[in-house]
Amino acid sequence: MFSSEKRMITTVIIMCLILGLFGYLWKQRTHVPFVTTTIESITTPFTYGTAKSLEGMSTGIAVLDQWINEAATIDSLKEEKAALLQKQATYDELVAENIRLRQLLQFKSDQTLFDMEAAHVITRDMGAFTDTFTIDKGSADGMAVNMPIVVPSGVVGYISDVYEHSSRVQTILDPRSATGVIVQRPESRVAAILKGNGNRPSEPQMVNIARDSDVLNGDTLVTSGYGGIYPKGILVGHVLSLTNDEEGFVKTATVQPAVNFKTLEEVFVIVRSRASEPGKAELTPKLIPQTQRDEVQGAKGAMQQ
Amino acid sequence: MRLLVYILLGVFSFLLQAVFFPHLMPYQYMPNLLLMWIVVITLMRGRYWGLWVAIIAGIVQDVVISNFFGLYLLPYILIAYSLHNWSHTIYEEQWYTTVGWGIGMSIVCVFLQALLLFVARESISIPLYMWYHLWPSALINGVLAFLLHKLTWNLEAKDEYIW
Repeated sequence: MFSSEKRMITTVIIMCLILGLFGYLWKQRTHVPFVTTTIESITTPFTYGTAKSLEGMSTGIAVLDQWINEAATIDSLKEEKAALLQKQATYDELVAENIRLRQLLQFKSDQTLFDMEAAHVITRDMGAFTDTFTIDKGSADGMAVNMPIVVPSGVVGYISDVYEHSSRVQTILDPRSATGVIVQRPESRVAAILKGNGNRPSEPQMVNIARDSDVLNGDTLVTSGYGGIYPKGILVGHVLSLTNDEEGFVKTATVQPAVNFKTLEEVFVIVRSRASEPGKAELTPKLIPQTQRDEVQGAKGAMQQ
Repeated sequence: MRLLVYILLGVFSFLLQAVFFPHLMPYQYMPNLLLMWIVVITLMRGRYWGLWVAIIAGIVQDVVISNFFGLYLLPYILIAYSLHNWSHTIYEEQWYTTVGWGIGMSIVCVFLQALLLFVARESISIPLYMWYHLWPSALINGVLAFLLHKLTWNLEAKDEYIW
């Protein structure tokens, strides 16, 4: 009995000592690194791995959650973007139209000598020998054959056929057209005919220029007013190059038209002109004594008798 | 039903040829959709329909789109008439054959037009005219011929299936 009580007391004391020792060691853990460092070294990889995994999982869940939430937003944003792009295209088109119409309006108000009627281009005839287009104004709107067609950049052509609500315009590029032109340079003033080029429709030609005429590359050509269709002084184009005829008597000038025929959308029809017509040379038939035949001599070649 | 579809396609082709192509294509790239219709219809439906399409397309192009009567009508009729004879020897109902005929007939059409203008004493050089009006538009015509071949083939097949 005694011995068992004594053993129990000893055990309790030893336990208390052990607990005290542990308590002391715990209290002094920073000063006993071999314990804490070892424990930390063993546990850190596990705790780190677990923490990272949890972090990754939470990030993944957050990303997935965000993606699901944003998927709907992206769809609506795409729709919004498409609508905005459409709006922008419409706006750009309106701005372009506005600029074009302002230029036309300005041109119309600047031309005090002409009464002009604006018209829209409907169909175009391209890709073959002819070069014509139709406009949305016809005889019902006061259009008539041979009325000149112009745009702010220059002369376009003339009305060749009139229908009730539309008209066909034959451009100066059409090989069947012949436009009276004159070199604008004061020291030149050479007059000639501009014809459409059947082989190269975009490059009309000023034909039958006397070989010694004063025409240079880059010269500006305007309508001469001869012929009765176009008023005098409307810009036609510029001389690109000059070539001599095979016989050597005349030369031909290739002309760069001032008008961009490809982008024509609106044109002006000159309904009435108050510009004075150029004075016509007085031609009186003269009898040539040598031949005793009636022949008309031109103003320049008239023989003085 | 099929005739109605063809009429609607014809109206659509006219609008493309007269309004959209000139607006979008540079001069030398201007295709001839109506000619390609003539080629495809003649190859697939025979001379009778080919000639009808040629006459209608020629008049439309000469009178409505352009104003030089005969410049398109005459070559179109000649092409529709002759193509039927030639095609029997070569035609295999494959798209590449149609494309070949399309390009070939583009050359023939421009040559006939140049010849017509030359006879009419217009100041043109036939080789220069042909070069300027064929390259590269003849190739674009080939692409159109391919599309029309597929379209017509599907239309014909669908119609046969229905009836």
